[in-house]
Amino acid sequence: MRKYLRVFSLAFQANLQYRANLIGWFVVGSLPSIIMVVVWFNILGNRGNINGLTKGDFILYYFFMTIGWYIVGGTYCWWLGAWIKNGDVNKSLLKPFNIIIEASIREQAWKVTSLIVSLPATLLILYIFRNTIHFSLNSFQFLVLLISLLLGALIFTLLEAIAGMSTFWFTEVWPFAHILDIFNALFGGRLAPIVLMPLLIQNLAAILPFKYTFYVPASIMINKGGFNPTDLIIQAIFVVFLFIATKLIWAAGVRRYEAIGG
Amino acid sequence: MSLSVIQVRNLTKYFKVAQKSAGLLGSFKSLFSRKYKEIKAVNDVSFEINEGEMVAFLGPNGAGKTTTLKMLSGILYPTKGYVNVLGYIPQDRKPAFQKQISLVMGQKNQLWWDLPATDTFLLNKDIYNIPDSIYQKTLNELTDLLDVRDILNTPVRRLSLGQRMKCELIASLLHQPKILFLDEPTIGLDITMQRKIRGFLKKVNKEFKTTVILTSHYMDDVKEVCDRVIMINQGHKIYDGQIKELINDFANEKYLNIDFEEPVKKDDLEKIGKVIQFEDTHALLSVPRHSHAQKAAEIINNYPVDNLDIKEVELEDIIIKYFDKRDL
Repeated sequence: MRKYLRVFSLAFQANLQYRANLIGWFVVGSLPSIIMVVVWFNILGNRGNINGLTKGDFILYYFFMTIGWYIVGGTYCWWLGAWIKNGDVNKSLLKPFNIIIEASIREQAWKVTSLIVSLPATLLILYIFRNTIHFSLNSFQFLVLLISLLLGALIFTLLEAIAGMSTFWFTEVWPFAHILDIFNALFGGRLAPIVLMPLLIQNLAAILPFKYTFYVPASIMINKGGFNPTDLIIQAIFVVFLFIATKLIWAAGVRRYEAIGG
Repeated sequence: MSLSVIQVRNLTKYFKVAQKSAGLLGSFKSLFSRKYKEIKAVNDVSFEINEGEMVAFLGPNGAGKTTTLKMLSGILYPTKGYVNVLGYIPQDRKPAFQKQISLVMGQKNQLWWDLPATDTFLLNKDIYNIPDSIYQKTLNELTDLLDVRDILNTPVRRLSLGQRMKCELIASLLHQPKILFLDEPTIGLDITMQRKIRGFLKKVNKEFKTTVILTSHYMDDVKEVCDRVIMINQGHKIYDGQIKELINDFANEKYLNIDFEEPVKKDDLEKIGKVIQFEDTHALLSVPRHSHAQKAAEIINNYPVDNLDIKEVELEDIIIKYFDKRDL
């Protein structure tokens, strides 16, 4: 565990070396969520709600998508794919050290850095709309939210790991990375709340893992429709299934790895 | 009797490489019907290496040297054959095995680019669970040996190639591995730095009893660092033995390097030996080893000699000769 804490510390320090990146993130970090809130405010117009979602729910939903991204999300399949392609995965094969965990921790370090940078803008938006939003979770619901976030983060990490490991077979990670991005946006609720999507998307989302990364914890947060324990159970099942799949794919990938370069 | 730390039997590694004919049409064809060629990178290689030995893998580009190192260290799975390193199958990648080996690749680095090398050293300390006192002692010894104390706090991206390689070596040796694999450790370094690295490797072998296995294109790395050489060509082991024996077995001649006081005729010299280099007042002759003294005397007696040196054949020449002979 200590070695991975060290990786986090090193990655955090390395992030601080690039001030321009931090300024850039300060400017754009909250922008996608602000745009989505503006879009939905326009769609809502004078209506009180769409499918039961009010203005306050939309703000809270996209606030979660911003903050939740730093907890659940990330782009570590790119790290992993690049390391496999250029042979840097060798270090994981030579040392008692897991490169999948390293990739997720390095991304986590970036997420903490960028969260700190984008937090002022996000909090400012929440302050501006303080009278519109209603955050009404009790301590039990808050605990459920934390568990759901953790399970969602694990599902997301394992999906990213699988996409990254596709490089063992296909050399480039980007086709799978983009597919994963689109599926996360569509079925994971990052584009729009799934209840507002066509029925076909809703049905597909129910059987795919993406909904259980962002949308399920977001639903718990906006607190519509009460607590559904089935969602947490399905999240846990997906974690176990994807963990086993990751182990098997890693073992198969390493067998066909050709360690090109150097 | 020395303990055998590496046993390799019938080691074989094949790669499947996609083929594409030239041009746009070739690209379209390969999109729908891809052809593959099987490359035999390592083919039925067997050897053993004892504790504390310093062994060089020699061979032309693509001979299979690096592939062999990667199989010995557990990065690659063999297609066929048996590898045992320190009692472990490397491909099992047991932590107990990984803590006893290290691989340095001249063209890859493990150092964190944006941070000083000391940060990577601390990460390795945690990865290998090195106790504080041993870490500090080893780090002090290694930094003194390589004379890098003043650059330890400089971000790696600001270091020269030679300084980076020194730090790579330190990072790889902090856990005091029993076996050190080196793939082209002096590639791209200037002559002074190459010499320092070679000296360092000999000291590491002596002080830490580390078994060193290296690949290199620089013959000086091999001559100065290693006692034994394993030559590989087109995936096959073609020679395995002491460097001295290789020279004795294959250096059937010696060189006479002569400076004359006045110009001489090349045709006359060719009657004495094979002329390798010739200018009016300078010649390099290859003569049979057993009669080199007699030939030298003949030249001194019959020509106006200013200076005459008797030189051993270079290891490079022996190896080129060996590979040429094998290719025939």
